[in-house]
Amino acid sequence: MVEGIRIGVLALQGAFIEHIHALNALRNTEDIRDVLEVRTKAELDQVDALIIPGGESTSMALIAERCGILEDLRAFVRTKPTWGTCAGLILLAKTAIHTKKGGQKLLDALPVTVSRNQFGRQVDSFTIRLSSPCLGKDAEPFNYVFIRAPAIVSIDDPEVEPLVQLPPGHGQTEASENGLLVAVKYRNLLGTSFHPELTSDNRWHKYFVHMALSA
Amino acid sequence: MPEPSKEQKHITTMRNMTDQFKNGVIVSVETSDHAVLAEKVGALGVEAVANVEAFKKDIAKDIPLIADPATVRDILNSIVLPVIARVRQGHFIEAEVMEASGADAIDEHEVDSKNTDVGIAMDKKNFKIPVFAGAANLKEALTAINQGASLIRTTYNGKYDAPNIDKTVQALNKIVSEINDLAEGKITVASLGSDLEDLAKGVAKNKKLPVPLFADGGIVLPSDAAMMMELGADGVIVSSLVFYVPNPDRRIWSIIKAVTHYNDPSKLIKYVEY
Repeated sequence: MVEGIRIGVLALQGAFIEHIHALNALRNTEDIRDVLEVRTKAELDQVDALIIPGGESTSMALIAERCGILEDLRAFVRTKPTWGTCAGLILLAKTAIHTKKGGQKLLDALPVTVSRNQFGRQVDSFTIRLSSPCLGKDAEPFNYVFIRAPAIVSIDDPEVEPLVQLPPGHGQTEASENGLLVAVKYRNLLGTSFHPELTSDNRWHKYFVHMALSA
Repeated sequence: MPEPSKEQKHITTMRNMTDQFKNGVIVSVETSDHAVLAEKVGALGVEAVANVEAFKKDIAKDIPLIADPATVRDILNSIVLPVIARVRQGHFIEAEVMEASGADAIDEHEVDSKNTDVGIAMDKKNFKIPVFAGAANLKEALTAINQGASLIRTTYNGKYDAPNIDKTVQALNKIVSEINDLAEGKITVASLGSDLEDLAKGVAKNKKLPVPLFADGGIVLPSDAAMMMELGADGVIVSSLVFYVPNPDRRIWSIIKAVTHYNDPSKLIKYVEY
């Protein structure tokens, strides 16, 4: 039996290279056989797990649809370990609000409602250090980077596990008064609003690799 | 490890924002109709620029060559994508107006300059949003980054209504080859100037700029866009003249596909239609 997991990063648009670097940096210590950029069905077929990176979700969804990979992605995320960061979180969702006129296509897998640009336009991008028990019992706080970020405004299935919640007051709507959810897990899916690949702290990448290996 | 300074944190945040633009297509638009069309076909953002037709009719001798702030607000209300507002090089009040209007980024553009005299460029660090700047070579790129630019695009040296793709290729090739020369020691860090030393050392080590490098100027064809990616650009900005071709939606869409699949000629042949 060939060992190790093959992880793909969807490379239709956006900051995918940072995820590639983060995964490659883990190859000495984690059971990763291969790290690939994915643009086509053939490449998707070569991976066991997928990261959908940050970028512009509207653009990614359109490119995926018109390049004929959208249905293949929908099939993949139904059962295989997939992590959506920022734009990737929007794509994974079953419901997204504040999207473009006419809406945008989604992968329809994560039963949450995601609000695009929850924190407003560029001016409201921010960084916040939060303790993160999901990364380990006595884990150091993690430095969360939010760039034009979406947020999870509702969980639409009891099996969805909230992982990280912002303190109340961050965000633009009434929902933010309770503290918006910015990381959730559901079966084979991990969804995060923030960009862990923009820091050198690779604990979230380790988290996903372990999640994928135990699938 | 020491906590980064407030200024360093701000620079990092700005660069994180422009990182999200990589490997995609920004389309220059003159109106909100253009912006809506660009969003519909998969652009990752738009750059609001002056209305070319108005300029050609020579309505006023001092026509500003940038979009009216009211048009920028109109565009902001029409689409969810990032909106970059072009301003004239050195015109910091223009830039502050665009920032206050809600633009997601500013492009400090040499559109009405006869040259790219970076002596008149504005201090880009004081904005809460990323600022793009143009360069035709590595020294200009590093100078602009030192002033606070968080994305570099190739300099636009042609006349406004006659975009020159050759100049764009030239500038891109120059920047990329000088980065390689610096990394290989054929150009010295010292030769770029003492104020650029830290930046130059980083570029020599990483073999790339610390910010995205975009090709801009006369890009209206998918093959040109793919070529820019192959030559080392991180993304492209499409000329607003694309809206004057017979099928702008199909053309823009082809450019977007060409940028995604630039390294796979079989995909380009299959998907690209002019």
